[in-house]
Amino acid sequence: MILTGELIINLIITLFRIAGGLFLAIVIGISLGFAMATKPLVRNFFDPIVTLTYPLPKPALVPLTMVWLGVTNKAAVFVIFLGAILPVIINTFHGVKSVDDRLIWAAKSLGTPEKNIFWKVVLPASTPYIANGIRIALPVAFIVSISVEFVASRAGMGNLISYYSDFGFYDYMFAVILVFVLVAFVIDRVTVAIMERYLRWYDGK
Amino acid sequence: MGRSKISVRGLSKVFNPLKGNPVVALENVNFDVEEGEFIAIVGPSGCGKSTLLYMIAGFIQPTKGEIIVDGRRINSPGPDRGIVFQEYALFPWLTVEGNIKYGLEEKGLDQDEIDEKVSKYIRLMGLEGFEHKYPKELSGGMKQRVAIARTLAYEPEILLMDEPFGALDAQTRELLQEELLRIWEETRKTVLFVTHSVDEAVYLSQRVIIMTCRPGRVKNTVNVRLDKTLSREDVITSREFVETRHKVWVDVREEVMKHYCIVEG
Amino acid sequence: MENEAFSGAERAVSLNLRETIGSFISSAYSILVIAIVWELVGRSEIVPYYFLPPLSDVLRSLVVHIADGTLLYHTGVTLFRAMTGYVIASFVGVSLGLLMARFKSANWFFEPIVALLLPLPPLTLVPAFILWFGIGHLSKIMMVIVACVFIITASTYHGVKNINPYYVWSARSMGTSESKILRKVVLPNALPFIFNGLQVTLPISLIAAFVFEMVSGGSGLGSVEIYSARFFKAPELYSSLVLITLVGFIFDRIILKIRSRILSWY
Repeated sequence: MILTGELIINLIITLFRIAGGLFLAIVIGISLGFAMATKPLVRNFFDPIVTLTYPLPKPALVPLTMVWLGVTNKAAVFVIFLGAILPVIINTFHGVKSVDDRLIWAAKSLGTPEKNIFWKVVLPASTPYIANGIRIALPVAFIVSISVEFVASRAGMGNLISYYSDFGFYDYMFAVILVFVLVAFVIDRVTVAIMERYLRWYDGK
Repeated sequence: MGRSKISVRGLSKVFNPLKGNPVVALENVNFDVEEGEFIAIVGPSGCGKSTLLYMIAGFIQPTKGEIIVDGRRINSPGPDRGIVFQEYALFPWLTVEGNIKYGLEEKGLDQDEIDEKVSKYIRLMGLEGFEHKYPKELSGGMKQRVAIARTLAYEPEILLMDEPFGALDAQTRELLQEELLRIWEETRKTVLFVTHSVDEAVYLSQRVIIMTCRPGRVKNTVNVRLDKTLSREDVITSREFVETRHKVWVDVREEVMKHYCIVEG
Repeated sequence: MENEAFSGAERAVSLNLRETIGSFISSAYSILVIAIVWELVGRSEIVPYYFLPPLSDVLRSLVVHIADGTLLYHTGVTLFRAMTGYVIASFVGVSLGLLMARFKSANWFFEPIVALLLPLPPLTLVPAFILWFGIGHLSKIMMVIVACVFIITASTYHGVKNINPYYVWSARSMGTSESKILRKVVLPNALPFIFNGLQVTLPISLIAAFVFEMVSGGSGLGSVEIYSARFFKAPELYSSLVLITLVGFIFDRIILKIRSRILSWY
């Protein structure tokens, strides 16, 4: 009984952190990806930064955010955000870059003014890529959240796992691991199902 | 004779003019198109016929020369010129209905008018029952029907078609050719039809413009006088068809052989 | 096509040193800007030293600790764990994938296991692995294996299963024996898929070893970084970050090189 109560509270904490970090990563990542694909100035600035930070194992940022923001929720959300944003940026960028010129031409000759091309064509045409970026960012967010909770948190599933392990409650520890894995699995499936529902027009080429 | 519908004057296009290897796609192209005329443009692959069409559509700018439509020099896409691409270029995220609606909504028509036109062109192109399908669920022929319906629904005065039936199988191709002719007879729009099929050009058009290989120039113009009221069988076995076809074919073949220029580009 | 090839060759010839430097500055100026801002902010003491030490201090610490061998030692430890696990995972993963694709019984047995373990975030198991395998090399290597092996298995399996049957038929009709078909047709065809698996898992091997070191301590770059953070030794913290990024970057380049060499036909 004690386990269930603690489990639910900590699961909610972890999921909130993941949701917060992912939300920021998606909003800022999509905007940046679009800006980089359409504005050479923005691209020139961020391209080397993305290239340089891409191979960085994202959990390595945990100690850094620990120093910056302490052992706080803010730190956890921030490091999840940092881990999840790159795949969103990169996929959005490629999505925008791969929009067929002819679609834009077709829209223009059907009367769409230049300033609306983005909303009418570029954005809907790149949604499959953006969705893919989010799909990749999702497990990264889970991994980073667990890492940050192992080493720099007073709550959350990772914290609970290492707590039970430190005090030798191995049965509890495995129960928490199992729940977390199940929840991660279900969230991934649900995300994929939602994406497939909304992208059923996409022929995957 | 009155003013031409489309007038192409001294048109040239050079790609990469400032870089290492400029490619002269078109050089000093001149021709006029009358209102309601059906023109076919034929030539070997890579002769710049699509480039020519894209410039008339206003998607790319000429290096030299000008294009005049209805007395106005054009430099951007406009609602007076509708285009149909070989690869359909349907919006994959919109249904058949959504695609046909697109231009009408951009035009700002009211809902009743939109619905009426959509159902009219769905009927015209034989798309009943497919209204709520997405492009990926359709065959190539059906996709091209939707693309043509989308362009026609917008009611442009000029129809620009870039090898629209090039990716279709032979049967579908013939079927759509006949439907295009029927629609043209009904609406008498001005049509510019790019193809590399000599048969298609002669069967469909009133006048065939033959292009030279890179750089593309107008090599010859052949008038076609066929009785379009006859059935397809009767048309393609008629003496006029065979003779005209031969005339065009000799010109095109000469170009292909001269350069052997299957430098796709 | 010909034109493109030509212009490519021309570009290669005209590429001289000045252009290289020029294009580097124009393409990486943001890095320079960040480096300068970093140095200035660090020097200005707007933020505490442990928060952001000047870049020059970080670089000095990097040089000092590389020179005295400590950082190289820890990098070596992390690399040893990641690579050992990665190599084992590659062998096991590819063999398992091939077995599953070729033999129904193997597939029947392993398929549910792989399906279950593939989506599992392996790092949740760190405390369990400490329990089972201690905090030495073994636990970290095991973690790297678990994190990588199922991805490689799945990609190998798909590579073999995705083969165009025409290739197999035409090989058979030319008299290739069944045992040779595996080596001469099936394997080359699966290679791009296998490589995808190997490419995806290489950084994962590094992450698995690194995070394990962060959590369990001992030695390795991960433990250096978390230790520096706990004791607010900022230059060491940043220099271990720089080093791990560098290792990740080199890994990435190596696999791309190998890929382009082996799969030049793909």
